[in-house]
Amino acid sequence: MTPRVIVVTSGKGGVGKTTATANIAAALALLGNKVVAVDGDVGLRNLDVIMGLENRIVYTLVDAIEGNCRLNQTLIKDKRVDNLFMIPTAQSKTKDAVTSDQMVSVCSELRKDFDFVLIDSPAGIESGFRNASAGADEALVITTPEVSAVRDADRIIGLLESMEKSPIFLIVNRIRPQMVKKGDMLGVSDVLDILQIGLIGMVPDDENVVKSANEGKPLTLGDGAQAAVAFKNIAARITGKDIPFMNLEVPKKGFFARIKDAFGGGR
Amino acid sequence: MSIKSIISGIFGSSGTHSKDVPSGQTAKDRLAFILVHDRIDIGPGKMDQMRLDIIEVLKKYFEINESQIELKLENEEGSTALLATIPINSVLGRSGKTARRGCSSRN
Repeated sequence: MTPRVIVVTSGKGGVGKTTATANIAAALALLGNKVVAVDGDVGLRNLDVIMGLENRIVYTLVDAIEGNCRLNQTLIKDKRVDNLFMIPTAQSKTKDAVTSDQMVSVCSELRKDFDFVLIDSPAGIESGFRNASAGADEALVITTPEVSAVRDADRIIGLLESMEKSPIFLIVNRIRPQMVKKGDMLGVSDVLDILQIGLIGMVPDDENVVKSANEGKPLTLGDGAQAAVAFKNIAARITGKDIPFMNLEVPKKGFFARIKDAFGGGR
Repeated sequence: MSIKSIISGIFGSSGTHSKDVPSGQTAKDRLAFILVHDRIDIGPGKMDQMRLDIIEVLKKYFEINESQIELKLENEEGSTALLATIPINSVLGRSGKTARRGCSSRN
């Protein structure tokens, strides 16, 4: 299989790029692919914390680029799943510590060893984003159903197109079906109407995402949580499987769900 | 076991982690640790390397038990201190056992 290098980006900050990167990377690895997630956010790294690998950092991407170590010394193997790796970046450097050209050569080196290289891009449209995206062929754009996020997604999609990334797919994150039903939140179809881009996933707003970040365990490494299912579906679609989209309609509660709620155990 | 946990056990909890420590507390503990390292720009991996280097030096002078050496970073009143507890079994080149609770150093 041809190695694929995919940048995960959004324009707006705080919409879930790092969470998506960690969860999709883990889900792709669970599907049997050899995957590396690369933190492209020099100076504000967080992929290590979200994946729970922060204690194992010895060398960073910047160390490899500065010649302090080899690239393969920066790889941290995730012990919870086979074939999942992470490359951390430096926390104490700035965006220009990694140039576009350097990123391109890092990516081409990683292509030799991995099926998937996922790059967690920084927010914004400046050099940090451009450098992080330089080595990628494809892009995943994350947005939430909010006007500011959708507007910024539109901007970033334009930039990605001008950089000739293809395909570019959209993930709509943090959907609150109750609000959409009431008409108080943009629905996925509204977002797609506006952005005119292919959809690859819809992720419900799920408090398990916060808990998994607290503990440094990507949700897709467990099961059950709705968001985990959504991210696993995205990973499967990335590998070319035709998975129907999740039903995010507000569910009618059954008898057991109501009992569970009565005891406070429902989520 | 609480009624709640029995119920969610029976019906299957959709939660990811049902350990005793709430994840918010885990988040706080992890962050405290992460930020100490971020602020001095030395990660846990580098700390391990430093530990090995320190042990190499100490071995020239003392007989020590490596597994008993404790190195940790602590934040006190806005400054960071490296606290080291190094029990010494004996001083090399001298007879008899010297004692116990060793160097505690601060930067």
